[in-house]
Order: sequence, then structure tokens, then C-alpha cells
Amino acid sequence: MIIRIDGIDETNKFGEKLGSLLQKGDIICLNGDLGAGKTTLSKAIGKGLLVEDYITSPTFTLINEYKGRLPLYHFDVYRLENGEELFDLGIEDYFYGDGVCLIEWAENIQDELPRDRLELWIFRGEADNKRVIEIKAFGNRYDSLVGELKR
Amino acid sequence: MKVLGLDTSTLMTTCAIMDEDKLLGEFSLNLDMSHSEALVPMIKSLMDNLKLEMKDMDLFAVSTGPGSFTGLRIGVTTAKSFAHVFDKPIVGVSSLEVLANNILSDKAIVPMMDARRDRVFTAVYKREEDRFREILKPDAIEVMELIKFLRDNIDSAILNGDGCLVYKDTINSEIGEMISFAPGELNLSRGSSVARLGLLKYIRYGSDDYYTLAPDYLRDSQAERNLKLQR
Amino acid sequence: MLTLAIESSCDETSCGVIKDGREVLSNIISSQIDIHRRFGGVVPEIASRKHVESINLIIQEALDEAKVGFNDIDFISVTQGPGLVGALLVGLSAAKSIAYGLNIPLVGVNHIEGHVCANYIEHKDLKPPFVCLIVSGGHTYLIDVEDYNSYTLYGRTRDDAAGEAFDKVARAMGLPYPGGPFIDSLASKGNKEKIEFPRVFLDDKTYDFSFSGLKTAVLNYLNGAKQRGEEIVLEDVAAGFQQAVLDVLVEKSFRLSRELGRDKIVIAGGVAANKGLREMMETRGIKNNIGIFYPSPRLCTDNAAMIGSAGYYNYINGKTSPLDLKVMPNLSFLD
Repeated sequence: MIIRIDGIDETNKFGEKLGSLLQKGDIICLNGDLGAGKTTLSKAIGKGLLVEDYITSPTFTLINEYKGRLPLYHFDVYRLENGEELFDLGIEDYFYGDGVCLIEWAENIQDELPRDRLELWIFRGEADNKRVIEIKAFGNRYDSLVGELKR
Repeated sequence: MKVLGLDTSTLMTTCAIMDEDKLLGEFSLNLDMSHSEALVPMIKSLMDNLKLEMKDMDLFAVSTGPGSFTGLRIGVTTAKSFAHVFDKPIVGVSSLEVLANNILSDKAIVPMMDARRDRVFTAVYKREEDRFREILKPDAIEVMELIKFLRDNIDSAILNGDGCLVYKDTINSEIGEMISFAPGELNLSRGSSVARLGLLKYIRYGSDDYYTLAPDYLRDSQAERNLKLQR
Repeated sequence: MLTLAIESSCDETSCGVIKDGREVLSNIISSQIDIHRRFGGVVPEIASRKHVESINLIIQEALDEAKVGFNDIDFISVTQGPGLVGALLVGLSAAKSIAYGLNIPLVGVNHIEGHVCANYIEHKDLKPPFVCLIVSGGHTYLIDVEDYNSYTLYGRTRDDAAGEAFDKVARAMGLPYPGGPFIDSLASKGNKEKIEFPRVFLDDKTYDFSFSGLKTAVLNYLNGAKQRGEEIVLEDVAAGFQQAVLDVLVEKSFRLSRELGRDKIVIAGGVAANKGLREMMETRGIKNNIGIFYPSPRLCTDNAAMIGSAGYYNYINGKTSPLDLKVMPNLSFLD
């Protein structure tokens, strides 16, 4: 599924819709270059999940935890060098835990990701505020999630 | 010799004090609560009831894995720090042996802990006097692989641990006739087992180093480890 | 009073012994420790975030350097949050064991409060009240410190922390990690007026910050220039970017101190080491008769000494913690 975004309002709309559809155990991977808008999209997803707190970039904190309709675990693995470092964060407990995991720069840890997940690849469009988001679903749960997004 | 044994490798928080072969007291709580909150207050309560102080302990024993990532960190750090403060010996014991210790039998004993992704942390032991002889070394393997191993190598076995409950149906349908499941209360780790196994290990091999003792998460299966060695 | 302080909220494991909240007898930081000593040649790998493996070693180093033993310690200070659960738990578990074993009080400390208190160590005569700007890779806060245990949060980042903006812009500029000091150094050689980057103040009333728009603007500028084949003068980009950040940080800090009638502004966190920030604050401080304070670089990063100072001021105000203290990965001044 491919989505073309023109401006931040559309990013917010898409993100909020996705957030509202998420269930316990969902894993959403956000990929894209510096400045592509991963954290911006994360904020919108958080809003859709009814998180009231400000969602800020986890680049340095590595994992931020929020309470929404479900617990939201917001990761940024930009600073990690290998799978070992990831394991040392206790990431398995989050992946198989009680909330939703949102992972920025997930492409850096491709081998460590659970087999079933949703991947969002954010590319810049022709203008500065345009984006193209490519959505890839892995697993039944995410196939149906994409189905719901299309409606 | 007084031994404080603790295990936080599963949802169970458990601690016990043994004096040689005599169990002085044991507290265990199977709560879906962070070990971080429960453990030290529990140890304190145990000690207070027994009118003992930490300095009275001669040896600290702790399950070092496999098991819960955060649970192991809490337990191991707690035990290490006690040993450090009082400069006393410490031993790490296998949480799988601790589970197996619940079962007294000539049959093969198979402790199983859920490792997610259809895998279990498991081993196959046979009791030999004071020791557990490893028929299958501790490993993180898929349930079907364990079932196949048991079918091919064992006459009869007793299974315990939370992992065997998760996969009970599969196991029953595949090898139900050759295995039995331990009664519920024997599925949970006990601090007294940690203390006992810890003391035995200490007598045989001496102390671990409280500076460097660390959890053994058994993160990779034996197969994965072999692969890494080859590379 | 001596406290043994433990900090393990994120990347580092740090332990230190602090006397009366201001005197540092030791401050050992895991990434900077010379562990070869203790192992005499056989060096195990103590990578960052290997907290369990290293904590007791570092505790001992802290005691040794302070020339004290466990029995000389009056209370334990430990970071309760914010931070990574897996990391915080290690420090907390060690702290609880030691506190219980020695039968001394346990004091859970807010990591952000620790950064504020780093300045009490650096400046022995500094006392509240003052406005405090905390800027690092992971945090950006503007707070009022009315008294030692009385904090009010006025502003925070709504997206990227200031330090993070430095780091990401540095990366886009091809500079090595950590990028902040490189940008600082380049900026001093560049023309800050050459390239105009946006200063994001948000609305007039708020003390909140936003740096992701600025980061994007710099990235767009770099991409655009590259595509057009234009020469990129790194010094000017650094200077322009840094000035855009500092303008906002400094303006809001002074505005708050004016509103509250404070005569001191204190800076804390990793970005407090930025020379440009220090100079700009001091220059404006002299003009407005406001004292400016910041810690030495070592105390700007995560370290145990600052936790020991915060612990001390909690302790003497009767704030101790029970042995079932929980980690709080989201702890903020609002809690």
C-alpha cells in the first residue's frame, strides 16, 4: 500500500487513524532518512492511541513509555550498533508485552525484529512537505490492519 | 553454613534461608508484580521473622538464568550486592536445575520455561545422587524439537515449569503416553532449591566472583551459538 | 554526611561518594573507568549498558577512590527515573541491597533533578532560587528552582531535545559522533548571519521548545545545496544552526527569569558544555545583572555525583524511600 502525503495535516490524519486501529502486541516499524518525519508520524499515531503526553524523540533516551488506550513503547534504535545492544535493552519483554511498539530506524535491526509486523517506509516527495509512505504488512494481523487503513 | 537463596527468573519471587541441610524459612509469591518491588522487602521480612541479619549469611546463591530478562537482572544484582557489602561468597545456579529440583524421580526430568516465539528454555536431567546429569544441555529450542528429542532418547519423563503448561496440548498429542506433568505446585521455583544447589556448588567448586557474576540469558540457542562460532 | 550514589538510567553506570551534597570524594563513570587495573591484563568487555556486569566493580572503585568503606556511608542515593527500565533496575537493585544490608536509608532521586544539582557541586555557594535550563541529548527543560526540593516545570521540548538536534545536524554535515562539540567549534569560526535558519518560539506565552523544524530546515538546506552543486561552508552552517538554537534557549531562559524575578540562571546537561551557549548567556547576564552558572564538562554528562547531591538535599528534607521503591521510566517534575 502506498500513501502520498501533502503537508503535516495529512500526516496527522493518517497517523491518528493508524493509532486508533492498533491493538495489544502490535509492532510498527518506522523507516526513513533523517528528517523524513518518523517522530512526527509517531506523535500522530500516539494521538490516535489517546496518549496525552508530548511524544518526543527517543533518539537519546532509546525507549520512551507512554500511557494511552494501551501502553505505547516508542523506540529509536538509531544509536544502537548491534543486536546485542538491543537485547540488553530487554526488548523482548516489550515486543511480547502488553502494549504497542513503535520502532524508529527499525531497518537498522532488521534481523532482530519479530516476524510479524507492519513496516512504514517514509520517503520525501517532490516538495519539502510532501512524503510518500510505503506500507508493508508481514503476517495476518497486519494484512487485516492494512485492509482497515484502506477504508 | 547459612545460605540465602533467591530466584527471580520467573514471575515467582522466592527467597529462602538454609542452614546446611535445614530449611529455616522460605517466602514465595507468584505475583504479576515487578520483582523489583517485592524482592528486598520479602528478604527483609524473612530475616526479621527469623531474627537474622544479612551479616549472618555465609553464602549467597542466586539463579542466573535462563528466564526473565528483567527478573534475572534484579535477582543477580541484588545477590551480588549483598555478597559485595559483606565480602562473602556467592554462587550462581541454573534456574532450570532449580526447577528440576522440585521433582524427585528416577525418570528424566524436563524443566521448561516459556521463551516465546514457540521456543522454550529447557534441559533434560537425570538425578544422580546429588547432581543432575545432563541428557540434554540447557538450550533455547522449539517445542517440537524438544518433543522429538524426548521421543528419540527417553523412555519416560516428568515435565514441569510454566513452559510445559503453555504447550501442554501439543506435548500431550505428540508424546502424551511417555510423559507426565508435575502437579501445579511443583511448577514454580523455590528459594530453598537455590540455596541447596548453591551450597553444593560452593562446596564443589568454590565461589563465583561478585564483581563479574552476570545472568546467563541463554539468548541464543545452541545451534545459533555454533553458527556464530563458525563465522 | 556521606552518600554512596548510583546512576544507571541509560548508557552509563556511574557510582560516587559525595560529602554533604557538595564535595565529591569520587565520581566513577563506566565508560571512562580503567578496568584493566582490576583484572590485571585479562580485560572483559564492559560495553555501554552492561550495567549488571559492571556495577559492583564501579561501586568498589568509587569507595576506593574516596578512601572509604561501606561502613562509612550514611545513606544511599540512586536514580529512580526517568530512563530505561532495564538499566534503572540494576542501579536500584544494588542500592536497595546495600541500603538494607547496611541498615541505612535509601533515597530515590529524579535524574533531571540530579542535573540541576550538578551545579551545587560546581558552585559551592550557589543556592536557590534560580531558573534552570536543562539541555542534553535526551532532555530539554526550563524550570524554576524555588528551593532545594521545590521545582516548577515551565517549559519542555515538544519534539527533539536540543542536544539531539546538534547531534543529528552534525551527522547530516558529516561530522563525527558526538557532534555537539564539533558544531560548537566550527560555529566559532563561521558567520552566524550567513544562513538564516528558523528560530522556533512557538506562541508568545509558552516556554516550550521545538527543534525538529530547525533540524529539518538545516537538512533541507544541505540537501538543496548538494543538489544544486553549491559549496557548503560547514562553519557557516554550524554557526547559523547553533545561533538559531541558542537564540531560543537564551531568550526563553531570560524571559522566565524576568517573569519570576530571579537573579540567577543555571544551565545543566550535556549542552551546558557548549561554549557558544555559555558566552551568550554570560554576555546577556552581565547586561541584565543576572548571574549565570554552569558545571564543568564532566558534571554535564550523566554521573553519580550529581545524584549524590540531589540525594543529600532530599535526605536532609526528610525524603527517604522505602525498600519497595519502583523504577519510574517516565518520572518528571510533574510527579
